[in-house]
Amino acid sequence: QPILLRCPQRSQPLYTSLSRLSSTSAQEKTAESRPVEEKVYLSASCVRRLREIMDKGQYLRIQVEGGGCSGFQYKFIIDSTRNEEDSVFEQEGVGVIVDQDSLEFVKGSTLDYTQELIRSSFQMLKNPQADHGCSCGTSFSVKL
Amino acid sequence: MGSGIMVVVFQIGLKVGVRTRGCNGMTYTLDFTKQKDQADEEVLQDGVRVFIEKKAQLTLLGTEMDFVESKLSSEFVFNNPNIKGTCGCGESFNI
Repeated sequence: QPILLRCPQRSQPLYTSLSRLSSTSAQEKTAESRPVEEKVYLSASCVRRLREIMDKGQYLRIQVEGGGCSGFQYKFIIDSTRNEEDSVFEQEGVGVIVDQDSLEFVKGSTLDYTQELIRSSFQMLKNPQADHGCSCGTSFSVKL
Repeated sequence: MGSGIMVVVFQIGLKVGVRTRGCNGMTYTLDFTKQKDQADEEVLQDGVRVFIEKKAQLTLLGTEMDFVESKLSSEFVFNNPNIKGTCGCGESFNI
C-alpha cells in the first residue's frame, strides 16, 4: 500500500507572519527602551577614594569575567598601562578604564566606593545589563 | 529630640552576628552596640570589646577576626574553621 505524505497547506506563507512578528517587536523595543550610553559613571565617593589611592598615570581598570555564583563578576585592578581599545572615563583628575568587551556588560552603570562598618570597597551600582546579583554585589547575571 | 534634650549614648563595643543571607546561606553582620545582651559572649582583647550574639556563638567557635586593608578595599574578615564553603566574594558561607 502506498504511503502518502501530505504537507498541510499553509493559509499564509511563513515569511509574512515572521516579518510581521519581527516588525512589531522592533517597534516595541524603540518605544520602551532608550539606548544605554556607552559610559561608566563615577560617584562622588568613588572619585574621592580614587584621588586618595592613585598615583599619577594610574587608572582603575574594571573587568568583567566569568565566574561567581551568578555567572559574571566584576574585577578591579590598579593599572598603569592603557591599551588602545580601552575606554577612559575621567572625572576630577582620576580615571577609570574599561576594555571593549567588559564595557558591553557595564555600560550605563555607576562605580561607587561603598563604606560600611564591616567593609569598604568599590562596587558597581545600577547596572542596566545586570539582572540580579549576588548579595555582595561582586557577581551578577546578564539580562537576556 | 522634640523635647530639646539631647541623649548621648556611648557605644561600648562591636557586635558580631550572623544572618541568613547571600547565595551560600549565611553572612556576618557587624554593628556598634550600646549594651551587652544577656546571652552575648564578651571578648576583650587589647582594650577592644567585641560581643558575639548568642545565635552566632556556635558558628563562630574558633574563628579569628581579622582586618584586611588594601587600596581597593578594607574589610573585616572572619577566618572560620567551621565553614564548608563560601561564595566567590567570601561574604556568605555555609556550615
